[in-house]
Amino acid sequence: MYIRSAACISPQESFGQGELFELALHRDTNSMTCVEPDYSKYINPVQIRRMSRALKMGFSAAMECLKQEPERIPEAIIIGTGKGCMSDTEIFLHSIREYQETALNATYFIHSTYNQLNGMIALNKKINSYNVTYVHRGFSFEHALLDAALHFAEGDAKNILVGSFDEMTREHFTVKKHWGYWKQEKVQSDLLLLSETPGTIAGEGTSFYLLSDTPPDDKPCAAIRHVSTLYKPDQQDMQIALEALLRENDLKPEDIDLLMLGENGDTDRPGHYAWMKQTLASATPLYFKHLCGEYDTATNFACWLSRCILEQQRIPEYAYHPADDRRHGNQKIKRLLIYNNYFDLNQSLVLMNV
Amino acid sequence: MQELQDLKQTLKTQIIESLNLQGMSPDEIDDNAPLFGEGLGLDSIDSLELMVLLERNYGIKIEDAREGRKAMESVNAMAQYIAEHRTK
Repeated sequence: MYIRSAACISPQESFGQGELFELALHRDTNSMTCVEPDYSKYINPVQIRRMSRALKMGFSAAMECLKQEPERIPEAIIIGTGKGCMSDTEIFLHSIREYQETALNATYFIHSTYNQLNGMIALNKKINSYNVTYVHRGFSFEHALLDAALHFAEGDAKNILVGSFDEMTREHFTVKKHWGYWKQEKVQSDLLLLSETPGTIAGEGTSFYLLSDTPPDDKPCAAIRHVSTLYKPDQQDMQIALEALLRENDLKPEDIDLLMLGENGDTDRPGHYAWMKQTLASATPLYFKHLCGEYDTATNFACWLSRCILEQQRIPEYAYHPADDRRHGNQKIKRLLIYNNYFDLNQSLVLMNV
Repeated sequence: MQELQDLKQTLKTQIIESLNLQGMSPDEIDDNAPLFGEGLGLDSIDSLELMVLLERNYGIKIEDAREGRKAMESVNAMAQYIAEHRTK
């Protein structure tokens, strides 16, 4: 699946330019919120007054992505979201309690449904074909990718819009803090990977891709080659999955140039990161959670960052571990493997190349 | 008479808040202009929100769609309907 165009709204200045941001932005609030664009360029005033932040971010990213390839009309819209529009859902739930299940706002109900963004994109672009939202917590984006891969394999589509969105709200942050998901002490995001305490920092973001079955002729194009999902895997499960990935793509461990790891400074949930680094010792490790925080569809930010690195053949300094001097050097970057662990439950491998 | 004028002013503020009409002030809403289509340019989802506004703030529950359409023709019509049917 070739990435023809991409747009990403994240806690970094990632939107619009389609290139790597030069300097990473840091936070010291344990919650990384998105840098939001000027929505008036993408959303008309009548629509925008009803839209929550998550919808505005997702819709703008999707529109920007499609704008970059105006000739290609997607034959399917496939989106993943772990929680949907949390702020609308919270407002609606509060209304249910406050007004004792009477006189409830239609808008918040409509927007609290997970597939709202899919519908808005389809209506705006008049795309009446396949339209699905995957809501599978830490696997949501991965399942959107797998569905797209199936469509391409079956020959059902030549262009597919794939993306994900998730937002962090104050209430959602508080609930997960009680469950021990976030660090108790304040941590500056650029020092997250050095942290030696339980929990991590919260995040949010949205990215969209126009995937195609053919690459462009005139420029390098990153592609997604393989997606594996593993639920609560032990080390043996990981080994089986990695061996299958290498075998099916006719690769040896040393063919992987870069490892994009979802390490998040959580000492309670170390995942299999150490094993992965040891097993693919020749691959240079890179990191992304200190840039976007932890959320259900964080793998999507890793995909966006990886696509930039593969196409531009450049690794920004902020993607390396702050305590590791190892650098990739000038060798060509051909393949990159993303490994993400979402709270020791949902874990995934995504192989990309250029 | 003054009471109806005050009601219209309150109603306009409630409409702006309820429909999130960003950048609009009560003075910009004409008492006689149609709320839907022309005039304020509201749509069917807005009509549902206005029904909720009437129920929450004035205890009015409109069951008949035709009656609802008439009651929400303009700010004047809404204020008149509220004055006649309010339970709170």
